[in-house]
Amino acid sequence: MKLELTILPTSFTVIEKLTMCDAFIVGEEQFGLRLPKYFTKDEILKIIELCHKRNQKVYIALNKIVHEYELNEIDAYLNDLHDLNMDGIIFGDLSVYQLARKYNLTHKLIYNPETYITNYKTVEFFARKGIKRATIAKEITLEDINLIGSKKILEVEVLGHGAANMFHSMRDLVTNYFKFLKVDEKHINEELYMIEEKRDEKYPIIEDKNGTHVFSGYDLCTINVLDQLTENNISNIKIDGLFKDDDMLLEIVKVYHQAITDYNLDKELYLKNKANYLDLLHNIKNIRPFNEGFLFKKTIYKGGEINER
Amino acid sequence: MKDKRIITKKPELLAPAGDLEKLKIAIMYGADAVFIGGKEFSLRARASNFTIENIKEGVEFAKKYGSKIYVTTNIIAHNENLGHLEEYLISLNDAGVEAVICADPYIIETAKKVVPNMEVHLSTQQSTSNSEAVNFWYEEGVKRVVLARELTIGEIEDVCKNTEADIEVFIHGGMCVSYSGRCTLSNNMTDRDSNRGGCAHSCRWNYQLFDKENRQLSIKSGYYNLGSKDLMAVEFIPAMIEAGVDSLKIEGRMKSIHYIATVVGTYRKLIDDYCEDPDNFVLGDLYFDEIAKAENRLTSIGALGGKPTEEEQLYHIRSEKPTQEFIGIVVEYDASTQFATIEQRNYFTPGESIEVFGPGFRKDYHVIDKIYDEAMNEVEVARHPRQILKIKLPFEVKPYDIIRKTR
Repeated sequence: MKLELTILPTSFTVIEKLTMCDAFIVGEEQFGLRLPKYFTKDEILKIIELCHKRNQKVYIALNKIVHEYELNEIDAYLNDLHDLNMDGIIFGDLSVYQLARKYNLTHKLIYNPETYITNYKTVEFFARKGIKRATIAKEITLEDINLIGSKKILEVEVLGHGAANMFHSMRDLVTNYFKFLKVDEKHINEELYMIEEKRDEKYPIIEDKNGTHVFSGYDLCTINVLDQLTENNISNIKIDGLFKDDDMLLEIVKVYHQAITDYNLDKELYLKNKANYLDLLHNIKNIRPFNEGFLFKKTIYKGGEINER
Repeated sequence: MKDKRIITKKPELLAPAGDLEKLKIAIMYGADAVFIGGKEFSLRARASNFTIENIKEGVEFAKKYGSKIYVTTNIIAHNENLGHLEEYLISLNDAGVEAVICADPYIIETAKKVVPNMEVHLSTQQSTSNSEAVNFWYEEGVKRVVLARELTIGEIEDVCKNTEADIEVFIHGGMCVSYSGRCTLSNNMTDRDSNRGGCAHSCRWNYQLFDKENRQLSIKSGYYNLGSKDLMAVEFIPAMIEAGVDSLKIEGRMKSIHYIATVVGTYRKLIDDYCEDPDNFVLGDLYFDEIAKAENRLTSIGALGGKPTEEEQLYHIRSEKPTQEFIGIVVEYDASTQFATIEQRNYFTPGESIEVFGPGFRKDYHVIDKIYDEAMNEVEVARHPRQILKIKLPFEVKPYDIIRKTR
């Protein structure tokens, strides 16, 4: 089976240029979280029209964490989506599943709770709920990802290239800090970064209308394991445009597209070219530092002293 | 004349315990239920040390007081953690555990299947923040949902109205500043899995904050951090009771017996006082003052009053101050000699004013006269941790009574 290439785009121009990928994830600011670019409803209609002409899929991000007073808005939005010719709805809050049932949208749902899909039994659970796809957590190993995929329970996707969001607070943690200091600084919707006193990694931090998000300093890169992901039935990888400009994203997508094309043509060709793809990625101007995340690194279950650094 | 309103359906007061002694203290001081961690499948690895034998003993003790024991099995499991779950759940059920607190759908499903008479509670790790999500789990057979700590009191009231599920909310203790279960700072910074008991509290560490042009935004003489003050919901308890919240939860399986006795004792009294005469209830300083005696961290109202502001953040404030007020715990009392045998917990000397505090908010005051060791040799000061000592008290005290200095 062919590995689908899904992009979180940085602009409409990027979508226009990316004729070779298979799908896009787009969303509105009111409903989507951590998207590189938020689009309006009209823009999304245009994107769907364009992409469908080119035989590409469009998934709508509805992944916010929902509070009681927002349930009506979510319900109304699902009603809108029902009339829209989109290909999937990404959600992270189970209220979306509950409400989507009445619009017969269950089969279009893609469950991405970021951290919760870490074993194949959980995937079985959501397969029985009749959803389309689930997003495997970024914090498990390739071995675990492969095991989940190889069971062929449900379509499962992974982050292919991009920053890991590792923290989401409802609080305005940047604004609050400057209020605490009584300093007149405003940095909403702005990419800041923090450095821990005993570490060097630069963790991006962004405060927006949904609170505060912190990300890993390195992008996860899966270019070396695309063969394994494909052979273990991972349905698609996502290339996330967050912290990238149009050009950088386009260049990264090109490399992944080349690798997937090579693999589909001849696995040996892909294997032979692996070092090449890495070089290509490294040569992209100002590319964010990247590594293999947890693909080959198990996290510690339980563990010792709480205050160890 | 209108009859006095009395609330007969009180919410459950749910307390933490990191070991059997704390479990007993929590129950004696008024907890209706206690949650503990077993050796497997539990977050808070260091505080999860109850063997099945310990759990049985805890259940037996709880039964005598009409209290219940819940066990946390709240990890988000990886493939490697899937084994032995069924046997473990069956052994918990056989031990008399009333409920398991779960976050992973597989653990929930397995519990429903192999121990159908044991209640399943959904952990706050799922960050459930609305009634539709509550109902998703309720339809799965989850009897109770612990709500996310991001809800205002108004949202809690609305959720309670819109679901049949039992609702549990946190009222006191440490807070995740992130949506719980969605944070992997620990995983990324220390390789320790926060959803499998390894949280390193990286949100409380010291950071510097910069903008994209490398300009330092955090002050040079201090730090930036993300950490939250602890939660203290005393002022919201009446509204929670009126909303029909089913369980009020205190956090802190790592906390001392002094903390547990004091915090549980205070909320017990607050709930009882309010329910006795809700329409004439006045929230006095008493409750705040009492909790302050054991609370050594800065507290706030979390999100209960609305979106948290700088008031709810720690930033670079050093929040923990050592409490030395807790000087001992009563082991026994001899009414004929008026000598209390106590176990020392902090330095004290003759001449100091003390308060003896017991279940039911029982309090007596005294000034310490002479201090003796077990063999009745007089000692000048009580300086050895856990030393057994004797002091004379002109009133009856009971085992597990707490002795603290008055400030």
